[in-house]
Amino acid sequence: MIVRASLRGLLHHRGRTLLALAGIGVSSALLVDMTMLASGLTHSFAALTRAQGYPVRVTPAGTLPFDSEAGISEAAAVSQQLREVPGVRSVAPVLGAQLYLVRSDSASEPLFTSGIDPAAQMLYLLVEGEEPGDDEIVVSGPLAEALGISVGDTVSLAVELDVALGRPRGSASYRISGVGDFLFNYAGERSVALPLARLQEITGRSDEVSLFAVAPAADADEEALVERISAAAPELSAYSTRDLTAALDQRLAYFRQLSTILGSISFGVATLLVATIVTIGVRERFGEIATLRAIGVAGHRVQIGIVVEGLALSAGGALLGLPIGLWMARRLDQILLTFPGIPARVSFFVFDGISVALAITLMVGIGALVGVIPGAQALRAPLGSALREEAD
Amino acid sequence: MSRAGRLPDALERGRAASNLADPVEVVIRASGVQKVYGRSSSEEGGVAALRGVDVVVASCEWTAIVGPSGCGKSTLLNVLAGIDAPTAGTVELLGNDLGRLDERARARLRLLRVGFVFQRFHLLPVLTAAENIELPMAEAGVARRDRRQRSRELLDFVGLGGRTDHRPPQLSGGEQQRVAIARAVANQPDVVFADEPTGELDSRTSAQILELFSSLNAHGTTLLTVTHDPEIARRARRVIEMSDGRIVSDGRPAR
Amino acid sequence: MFIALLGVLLLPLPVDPGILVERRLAEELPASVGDTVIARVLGGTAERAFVVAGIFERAPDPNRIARNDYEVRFHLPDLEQMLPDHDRVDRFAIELRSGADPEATARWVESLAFGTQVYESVTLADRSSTTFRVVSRFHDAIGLVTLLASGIFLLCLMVIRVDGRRPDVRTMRLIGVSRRTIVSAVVAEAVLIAAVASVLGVAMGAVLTFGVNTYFGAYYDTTLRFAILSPRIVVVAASLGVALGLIAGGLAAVRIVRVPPQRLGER
Repeated sequence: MIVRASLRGLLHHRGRTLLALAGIGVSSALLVDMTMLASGLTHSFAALTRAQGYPVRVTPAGTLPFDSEAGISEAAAVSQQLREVPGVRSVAPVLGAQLYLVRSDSASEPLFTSGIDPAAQMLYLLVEGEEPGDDEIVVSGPLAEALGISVGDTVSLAVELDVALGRPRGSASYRISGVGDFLFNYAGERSVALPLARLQEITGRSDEVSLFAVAPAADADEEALVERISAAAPELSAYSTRDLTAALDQRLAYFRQLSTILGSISFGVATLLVATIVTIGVRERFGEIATLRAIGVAGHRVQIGIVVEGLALSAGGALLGLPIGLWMARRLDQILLTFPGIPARVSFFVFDGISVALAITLMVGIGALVGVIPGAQALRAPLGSALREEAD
Repeated sequence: MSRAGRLPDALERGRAASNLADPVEVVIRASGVQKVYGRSSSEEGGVAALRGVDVVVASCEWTAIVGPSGCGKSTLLNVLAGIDAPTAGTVELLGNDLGRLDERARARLRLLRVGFVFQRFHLLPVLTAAENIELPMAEAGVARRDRRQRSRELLDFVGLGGRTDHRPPQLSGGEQQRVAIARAVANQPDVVFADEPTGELDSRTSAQILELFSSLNAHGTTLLTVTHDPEIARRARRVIEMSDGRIVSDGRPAR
Repeated sequence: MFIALLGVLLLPLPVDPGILVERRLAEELPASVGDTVIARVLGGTAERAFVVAGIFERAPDPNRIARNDYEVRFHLPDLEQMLPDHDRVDRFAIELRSGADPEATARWVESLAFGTQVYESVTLADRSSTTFRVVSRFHDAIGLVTLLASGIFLLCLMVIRVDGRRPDVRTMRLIGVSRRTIVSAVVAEAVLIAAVASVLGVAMGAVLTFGVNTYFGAYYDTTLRFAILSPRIVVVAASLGVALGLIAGGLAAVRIVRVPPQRLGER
């Protein structure tokens, strides 16, 4: 009955209850978003790194993947050395270089080009066609779309631009063997991939790669494998997905901290809103509470009514906030994904059920409990005076 | 005009069956009760509302406390009912020394053995008339079906059988007070305290309320009523007159 | 010319040409002016000794804020000697004579040197600030949501306050006080609350700005400012706050004066 009275009180003050729910809803939506942002990119990036089954990266000592122009020399031998490390299933070498797209006699557009082993690569998923053979390339979807080219067509790529002669140098024609969905490309990025040996040959970076991606055997532990690789090739740096995400975390500390600050603020605002509504509600019902006490309703029963009111408001607001938060996350993600160089496949906002549930539960819990203090004050007030006050 | 009906059988049965309502000869025994309001609890520093009151109320009595405004009658009622604690003196209610009971025990005593009627009704505006009556029963642990039935009987008793689902703002002052009386007796109390129960009502409605009180008292409920209403004082079996925090007369009403 | 090398192996040793070392790296090593260090290019084998000729503070660059790489500066020929490619640079900076048209010069250089791209410094600055435009858009979006939440909060507060004064409003209405007066009073109160809250908000913002700059400044070891409370921001925030107060007060007041006075006594 006490609970019914509390809930009906909320319905009775429909306008303010709806406003409170809306306010708490928006605040909890922000809280949901900040919880998703706090670790979203890390989770998303980790998933992307593991996507093709190659979670380990081996790079020149002290560098992160594609963080410098440094390369790994004697790549074939190193590749063999890595394959022999217990627990390694497959090794995918990647060489990054810049080629230029040649159109008629001009060559201006630089293209990020990867040299890969068509039999073991983790850069792209083939959307159309097949892996490249000699003198063949795989192009990214945006490039194919921009040039209006498809499988079977031919494009000309140059290694360098000769400033003195005023024309591209080392240009050659390549047949498009496939169109790929390049996993690590930013939105709309135009890039190509061709066999490693060919790229090494045309760029003069013989037997050199930028990194190796390593796929562990089914039963191999990723971290232990990284340790074994580090021991086997101490001149290189080996990173597990956890290491890479930690490095990313370090670089995106600003967003993590911003999300913590904004999350705390939204948490505070929602709590403050529930506290204000419930406190005012309790103050307004000071006389009613006195009446309940006078007719013998136990203090803890009165408190239950107050807690239920706070609980209903915060839980209702949180429920409302969840879909709003998910919608807002999509919008905010669209904004943040315009960051230059961010892979289009990652997401800044990843729904982590446990974290979101924890944040919401905490908010709902505190929302429910904020009424306890004004409730206790109302219950501690001298009963006779409270009744007289109500009568007046 | 709706007249007070027969006291519900449920109430009678409850009274007979309840072991909470052991018949006691003396319902209230107060001695040397003083009440001082204000920061200081001494008479010098605060406002003395009661200055050493001794009173004994026997079972089944209808006692009216009268006197000018500010003489301490409402304070006495609150102290005797365990709503206010006296500054000095002792109060025994239904065999329990209120000074020795903690708030939880006093609340339990009020819930199960005491009823209250207030001048301003003090009903919960968001609950219906029936729910307001059910509230103390629900808190006392009466089963839902039983309390529904009893609330209906009580509403019939106070002449509001047709207003079960009306909320207090939809009822007139007299109707609200009748609901308040029904709520006061919902748990079949041994004693009902009423503070100016007709203070907000017109004379016709007051007469209806008086009928209800008469009926309750006739069925064995002890009544202690603070009033300015000479009609209540006339109907009561005993009238205590107060002045300046003291009892100045105590006896049968003048007929 | 300067170039950032991501991982330079530096060890104390007695030798020759000068090198400038970034203050953070000098502290990390530690190294001071006059010390000798050995530099090796990543992935290469050639090593060379350098004398620390000076220690410099890296120019605050928001683009590189999240990267912890250190900077050293060589004389161009010294660096070239260590790299596989000689007579090659990443970029030139061109200083123009007074009155020269940067745009025309840029196009002329491009036509002259095939394959080069020439940018005016403003264009370059604009391109390199894309990240911050994105961050700014993100902050704008968050700001809008915050504004919405605070607007609702204020409206809710005003509705509750006005609800609590229903008996007073009833009395005023019954003794003939006009609706307009009541609305004005409520709106004035809301604006006052919003104005006071805005002042508090600005004060809190100043404290928060100081905290953010102190924290992130120490975190990234930079003199960059991460939050700025400019007079324009203060004016915009305060104006928005007062406007919210005006709207919230207006809505709450209109809601109460539309109720007939006789019904205002009901709870």
